[in-house]
Amino acid sequence: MDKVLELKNVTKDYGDFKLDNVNLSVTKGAICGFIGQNGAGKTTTISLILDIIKRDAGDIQVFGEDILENPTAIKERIGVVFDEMGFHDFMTATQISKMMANIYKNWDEEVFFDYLEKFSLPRKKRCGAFSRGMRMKLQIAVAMSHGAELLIMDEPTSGLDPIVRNEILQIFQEFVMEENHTILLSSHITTDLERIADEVVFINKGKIVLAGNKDEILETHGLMKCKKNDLTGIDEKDIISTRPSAFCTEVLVADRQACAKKYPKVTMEQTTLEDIMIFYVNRGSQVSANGESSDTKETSTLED
Amino acid sequence: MIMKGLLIKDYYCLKKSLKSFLALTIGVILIGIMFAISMEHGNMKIAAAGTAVEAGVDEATVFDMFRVAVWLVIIIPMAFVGNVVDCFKADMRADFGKQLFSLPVDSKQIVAARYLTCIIYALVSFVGATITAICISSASEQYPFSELMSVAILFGSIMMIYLCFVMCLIYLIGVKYADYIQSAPLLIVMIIAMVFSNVKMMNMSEAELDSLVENMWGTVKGFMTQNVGVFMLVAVVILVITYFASVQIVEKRRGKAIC
Repeated sequence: MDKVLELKNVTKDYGDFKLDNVNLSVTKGAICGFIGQNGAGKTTTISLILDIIKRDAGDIQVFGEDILENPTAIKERIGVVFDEMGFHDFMTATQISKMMANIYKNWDEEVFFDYLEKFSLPRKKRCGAFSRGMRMKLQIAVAMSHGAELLIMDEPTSGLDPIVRNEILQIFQEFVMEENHTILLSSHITTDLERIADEVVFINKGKIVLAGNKDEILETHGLMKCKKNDLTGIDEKDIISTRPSAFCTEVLVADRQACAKKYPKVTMEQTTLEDIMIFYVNRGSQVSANGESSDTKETSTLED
Repeated sequence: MIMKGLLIKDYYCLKKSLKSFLALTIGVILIGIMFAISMEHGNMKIAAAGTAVEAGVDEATVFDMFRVAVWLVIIIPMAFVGNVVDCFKADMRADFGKQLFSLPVDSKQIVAARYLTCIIYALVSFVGATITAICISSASEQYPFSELMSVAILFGSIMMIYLCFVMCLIYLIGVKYADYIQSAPLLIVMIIAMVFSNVKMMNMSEAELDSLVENMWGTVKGFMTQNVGVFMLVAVVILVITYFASVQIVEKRRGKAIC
């Protein structure tokens, strides 16, 4: 399958935080969810992809080219949405369109104004007076009005109410209906990604801990509900991490079907992306608490 | 074409200040005309004559120093400096750095657009200064148009040199330190001038001091008005050097250069 975006061994070291040998790829035509808790490295990764910050090591290929070799031509084909609107508060949508028309070669004012109408955004109101949802919609309108093939979005639904979030997610699904359109969407709202993502990548403390097809990840991972006695009988190699609750201990396993056969007396349930994220994050804490280096744990990858 | 988009953005940043710039120019013109008429026929002429007698200084020198209207024209090029720096501050407030570097623009275009904004605004201030000079010189024969324009061009060049260094330092250190960067050169020059003048004047007699005042004013004025061309040339050279330095800084610092 064609890869629109590939990161190989990308590293960025800030001293107190390090993005460490990140390997990530996004398939053409897919919606890739980039999940991690706050401070995991999602924004740093996106900033490196867009060359907003310089990488210390590694290779970033967008549309098959290194972003550093031809940044302006590549960025013509990328639409970007940040968690905070980066336009000046005193600018109106019309003024933003005038600015963008003289920056992007393929800027389509008609498409932009159509999106404004669709999103019920006023043309002549200063965007400083927009609500958070309106600002996000404005950014999306800008990102989708210059013929972009790849949308890169950094927590676009964060802080939005469910109705606006639903609206925006529908727009994303419509966007990828065209064959050459792809989305990389970072979020810590896992329910959004469960709804629309085709692929997911988990990042924790600057490292990729899990990557692959979303449905496969949800299908293969499982949540076992164990009593204390049952827990001792479970092979450590099968355990991702554990979480004690009032009545039992919950155990995340990477191979649900195999574990269901191996431990027939233990209750096995389907899990959610949120649970998977929490358990993988906890795994890092549990490993650190045991005094082992989390670097010794290999990244789990589910390849097609 | 890409730079045009960034110039349009800077225009929207400066749109409000253009109105206050117009008001400032009108104010300078009116005050300048008032000073010119007063110096020829009114209270300023009487005050200058009185000062010359009290200080025991040559009347022509005092009258020259009291020709305030000449120095009013420097307000206009000085005003444009602060306004261009406002573009940097506006970008920082909007967190425009991330947006900017996600656009299909490179460091050269980003810096060139900002320098072009500076030049365009300098030309606007030059037009303002020219109109001011025309109005004041029409009000009084004591203020020839050529003298007023020399002063305006001279200070415009000095302000351009100052602004080029300020812009380069803002890219290097960051926009949040813009106020310190703008103040630092002025403070340094003032401190040097104070220290130099105190050290030099400590051992001088009263007669020597009077002579120094008379000669210094004439010397400084003569040097500045006879070397307008030199200052213009230096301004152009500094502009080119700081442009290339700024491109290197922005290329290295990327999004942080706009923060």
